[in-house]
Amino acid sequence: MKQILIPALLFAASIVVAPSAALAQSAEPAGNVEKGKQLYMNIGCQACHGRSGQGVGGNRKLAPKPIPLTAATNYVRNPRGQMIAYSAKILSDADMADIWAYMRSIPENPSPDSTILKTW
Amino acid sequence: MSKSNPSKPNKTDRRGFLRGAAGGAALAAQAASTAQTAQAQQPAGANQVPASPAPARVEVNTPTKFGGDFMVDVIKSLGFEYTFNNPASSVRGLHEAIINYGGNKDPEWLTCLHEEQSVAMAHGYAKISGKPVLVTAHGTVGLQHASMAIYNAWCDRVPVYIIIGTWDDATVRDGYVEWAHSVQDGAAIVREFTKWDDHPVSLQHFAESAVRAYKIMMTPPMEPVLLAVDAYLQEDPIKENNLRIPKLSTTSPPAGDPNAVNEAARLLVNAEYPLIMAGRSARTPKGIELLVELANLLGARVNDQRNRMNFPSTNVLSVGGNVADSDVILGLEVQDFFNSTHRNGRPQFKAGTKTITISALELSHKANYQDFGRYAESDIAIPADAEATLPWLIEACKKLMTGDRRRLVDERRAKAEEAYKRAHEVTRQQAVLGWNSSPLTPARVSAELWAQIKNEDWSLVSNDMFFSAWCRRLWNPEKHYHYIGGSAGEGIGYGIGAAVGAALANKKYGRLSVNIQNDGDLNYAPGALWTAAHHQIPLLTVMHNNRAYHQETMDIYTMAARANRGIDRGHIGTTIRDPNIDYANMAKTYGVYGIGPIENPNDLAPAIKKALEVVKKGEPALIDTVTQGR
Repeated sequence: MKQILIPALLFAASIVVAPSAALAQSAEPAGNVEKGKQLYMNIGCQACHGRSGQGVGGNRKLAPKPIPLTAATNYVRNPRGQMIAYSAKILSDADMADIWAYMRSIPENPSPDSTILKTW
Repeated sequence: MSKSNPSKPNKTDRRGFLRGAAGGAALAAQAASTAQTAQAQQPAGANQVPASPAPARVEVNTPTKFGGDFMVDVIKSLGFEYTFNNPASSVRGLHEAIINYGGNKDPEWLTCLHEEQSVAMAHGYAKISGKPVLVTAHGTVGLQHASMAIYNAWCDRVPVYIIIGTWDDATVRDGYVEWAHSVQDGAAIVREFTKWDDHPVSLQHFAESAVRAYKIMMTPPMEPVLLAVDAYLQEDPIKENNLRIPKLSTTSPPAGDPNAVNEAARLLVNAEYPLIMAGRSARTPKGIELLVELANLLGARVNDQRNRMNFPSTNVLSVGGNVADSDVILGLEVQDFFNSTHRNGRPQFKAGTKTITISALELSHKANYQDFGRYAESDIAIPADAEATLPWLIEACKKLMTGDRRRLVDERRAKAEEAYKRAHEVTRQQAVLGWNSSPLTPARVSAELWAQIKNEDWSLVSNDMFFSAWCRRLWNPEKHYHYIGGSAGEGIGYGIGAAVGAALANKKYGRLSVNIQNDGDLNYAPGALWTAAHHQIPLLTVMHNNRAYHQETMDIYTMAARANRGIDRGHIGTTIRDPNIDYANMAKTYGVYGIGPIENPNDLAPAIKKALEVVKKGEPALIDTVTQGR
C-alpha cells in the first residue's frame, strides 16, 4: 500500500567535501535566506532532508556548513543514487543560491554532551 | 450496519423459546387455577382430570444449553484469554454465551469500534504474549472491514482466530438485513491470506474444526484461520447427543533436516566472514537467546531486520555486517532474502559466497498475494522453523569448532566491538542534528522519551520505521517485548490497534507500553483509543504528527522532478493540514488523557512527565507532538 521509496535531494557527499567548504564559502554569491527558506519548505527539499537540513531517514544532512554552492548545484543537476535530477527549468541557479543561503544560515547543533544524550 | 434484529417467527429458536417460555408459564398458571376451581366442586374420590400438559412449544424448548454455550466450551478448551469484537447480530448467540454462560472470562469480551481494530489488536496482543485472540465479526460487512488487518497478520505470520457469522438457511432469514449479512462462502474474501477455514454444519463439526483450526494456526508459520458459523447453530438449543471436544494435539514446530543442518554448520564454522540475517527468527524469548548463542559462537555479525525483536542491540554483533564482505550468509525467517542480499537485481555478495536459508515460510505458500518476495537462489534451503532448528545448528557448530576457528571468532568479535563503538558515537552525533528544531525531530522525541523511561520495564509496541527508527537506535532493545515489529502488510490503520492489543498483553506484567503513533495511521480507526480507555489499558501514545502521508509527499515531489515540471505542488493530496487535527482533543473525546500539540522541543519533557503519571495509574495517555517528516 505504501511503497517505500527513498528519493533524496542529495547535494553531495557533504562529510567528505566539508573541510574545503569553509574556504569556498567566502567566494560564493549571497542568496536570499528568507526566500531560500520558503523554497526549501515548499518544493520538497525538507521532506527528505528535514526542515533544518539535518537529513531524514538516511538521506544526507545538508546543514549546517553546506558544501559549496557550485558543488551543490552540480549535484542537484546530476545526482547519484536514488535522487532525481532537478533541472534549471524547475529549480533555477538563483533558487539554488537562495536555498544554499538558507542552509548556511542554520545554526550549529549542540554537542551531544550538552544534551540529555550525555549519559547515553 | 444493523447490529440486531432478534425476532424469528415460526422458528423454535432461542428467542422463540424465551417468548414461548414466558407465554407458556402464563398458560400453565391459568391451567392450574382452572383445575383447582374444578377440583373444589367434585366429590371426593372422583377421577381427577389430568392437568393439561404445558404447550409443546415450551416443553420441547426447555434446554439447559444452547449451541453457543457448547461453542464456548470448545473455545475455553483452547485457552483463549480474550476476544476482541465489534458486536454483530450474526454472532449474537455466541456473544451472549461468552458473556453469560462463559462468565465473560477466558475469554473476556473486549469491545472494539471497528473490526479492523479488533484484528489489529489481536495482532499486537499475539506478538507480546505469543497467544492468539478470538475475533468475531459479521461474515459479510464485518469481515470486509477486518480484511486489511487480516492481511497484515498474514504477512507478519501472526496467529489470529476469527469466527464469522451468517444465516445459512435462506428460508428463515428475517428480513433484508439478514439477507445482506448472509454469505455462502464468507471466507472467500480472505482465503488467499488465511491459513485455513471451514464452515461447520453441526456442533460436533464445529468442535472438530475449531480444534483443527487452532492447531493449524499455531504451527509455524503461524497465520490467521477462520470459521464461518451459522447464527442458528449458535442460538438454537442443542439437539445433538454425545457432543465431545477433541483433544488439542499441539504440534512440534518442524526442525531442519539433520544432514542439511550439518552442512550449514560446516559452511558457517569455516567461514571467514559469516553474516546472519534475522527476519522473524525469534518466535519466543528463547529464540533471542538461541540467536545470541549462535552469533557469539561464530563471531558472526547480525543484520536484524527487526520484523521481530530477534537480537539485543547491546550485543556488539548487532552492529551488523556488510553483505559484500561476507562469504557465508545465513537467513533466518527472512521474508525477502533476495532483496536483502541483492541491489537492483544484482547480488551484493561476492562470487563464491554461500547462502543458507532456514524458513518455515517455505512450508506454506499461496499464489495470489505477492508478499512471498522474489525467488531466492539459496545454496542450502532448509524449509523449517528457524527457532526450532537453531539448537541443532548450534550443536553441530560446536562439534566442528576448533582452536583455530575460535581464534578467528575472537578476531571478528574484536573488530565488531570497535565498529559498535564507532556506530554508538555516530548515533549520538546524528541524534542532535536539528535538536532544537520546531517541528520536533524524531531523534529529539525519542531521546526525551528515553530519558524518562529507561529505568522502567518498557515495551515499544509500535513500529518506529517512519520515525527513522530512532527509538530502536536510542533505547537499547534487548527483551522480546522491547520491540514487536510493524504491520508487515504495510497496511495503514494497524498502529493504534496493535499498540492497544500489545499494551493489554503487557498490562499483567506491569510493563510500560509506548506507542509511536503515525498521524495518518491513527485517522483510519481512532476508536481503539476508546477501547483503551474503556478497558483501562495503560498505554503512552506519542504522536508522530508530521501532518502528512510523508512517504507519499516524498514520492510526489520525486515524480514531479522526474517529470521536469512544477515542483511546488507535492503537498496536494499528501498532507493533512488546513485544518490541523487536534489529537490531544481527539484523545479526550475518546476518554483518553491528551496533551499537546507540542511544537517547542523544550515543552516535551514536562508533557512526557505528566502523561507518564497517567499511564502509571493504569490508564492511556496521548501526547500530540508535532514532528518533522521522518
